[in-house]
Amino acid sequence: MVNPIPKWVWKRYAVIWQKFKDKPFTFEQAQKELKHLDRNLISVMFNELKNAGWIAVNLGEGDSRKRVYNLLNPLEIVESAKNDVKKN
Amino acid sequence: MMLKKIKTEHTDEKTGLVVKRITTSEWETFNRKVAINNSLFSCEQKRLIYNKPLLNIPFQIHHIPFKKKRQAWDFEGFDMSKSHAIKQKRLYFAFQQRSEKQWDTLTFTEAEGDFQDLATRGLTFVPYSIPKDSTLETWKERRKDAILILNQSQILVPIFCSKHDREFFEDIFNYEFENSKLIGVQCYNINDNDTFVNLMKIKLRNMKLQKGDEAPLLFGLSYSKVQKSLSNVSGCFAYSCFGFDVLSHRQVFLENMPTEVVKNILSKRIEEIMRYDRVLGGYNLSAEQEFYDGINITQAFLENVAVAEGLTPYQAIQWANFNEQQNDFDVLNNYVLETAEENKKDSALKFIESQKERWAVFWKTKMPQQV
Repeated sequence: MVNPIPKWVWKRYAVIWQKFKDKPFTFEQAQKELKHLDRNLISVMFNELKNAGWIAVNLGEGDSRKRVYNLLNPLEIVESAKNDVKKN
Repeated sequence: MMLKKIKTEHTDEKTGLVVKRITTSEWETFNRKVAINNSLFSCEQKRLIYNKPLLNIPFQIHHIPFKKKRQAWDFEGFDMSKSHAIKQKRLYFAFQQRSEKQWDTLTFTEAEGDFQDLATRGLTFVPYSIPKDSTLETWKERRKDAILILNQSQILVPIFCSKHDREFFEDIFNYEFENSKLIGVQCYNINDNDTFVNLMKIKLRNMKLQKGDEAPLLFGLSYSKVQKSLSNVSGCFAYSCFGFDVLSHRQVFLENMPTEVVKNILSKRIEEIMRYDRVLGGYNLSAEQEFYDGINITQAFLENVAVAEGLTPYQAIQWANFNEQQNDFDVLNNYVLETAEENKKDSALKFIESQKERWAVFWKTKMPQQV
């Protein structure tokens, strides 16, 4: 199930989607794309995306301390939202 | 202009934010106001020359600088700002802007001397800085003596340092909360443990106010305009979260700075001046604006400011920053008031958490979250 995200998170999601699409990426890679934004802000943004079901978080291959992120495709999100509406 | 009463209009249970109604002999207004400070006063002086409208804010705060060379408080400009405030029907407040170092060495002997000095300069609201290590007992004694030298129309305003000894702060603050009309706090870094704990105590006491309760007006003073370690959230917003009603950020006095630093400040280009962005609820630079919005918003703004408005480009940005922060506060007040309705209990919280990026990040990382 996916939930809506605040507009400010959507704006940042769009920037990283443009770069990575549904390919995996690390926090540092995202930080490089989200120029001028500090770690604090990006952490909160990832947390929002995770809670809303817009991002998958996995353990890194070879180093399980690292996290690897995958954004959900916006089309999948729309589909999922549609299905949720039908169920309710 | 006489301060008549300050009453609690509404307390939002979800955010702990309070709306207070302030009534004077001249006007009535709600809290969460950004005060006219020294630099905005300079802007207004220029605007007067061009016959342009001034800022519509009923509070003016004069930060009295300390002149390092003369080792004395500098009262130049004090009388002028006071008479300007009176003409504009504003509640005027002046206080000595202390550095953290000055707070560290402040004794009651010095604080009392400074208080006496200001008491004789025709102020209605007379600040008294309370040394950081004071207990309630020692303060009560000093307070009693201080009140004796004031005339009937003068009101003592206790000024705390946010880094006051944690062990003693709550007792003195709560005592003053019950006994004062105005309370000032000179605020330092939120990331400092003493400051954070003391600010939380202020918030917790303030949010206990119920509709109709008499309440003191809390002045948040001398904090950093931009909270650089907190995603550049606006200092006004960050400190208002702890219950401050009237806000005035730290003033920079060039006279006290090394020549190199002064040169750097004066040679700042537009790209290096931070602009308040209402979408973010925080500050950014031209480079960030261009990267995300494809436009240099600061530059675009300046192109629309007429020279006849009487301000330099830097002042025009300050002016706009002020107006936009105040507009955001006005909107926030409406949301807080709305939470009085049964089906809108979440509206202020939702507004903070979803509408403005920097507000949301600050709220989620610095303010305790309800489980």
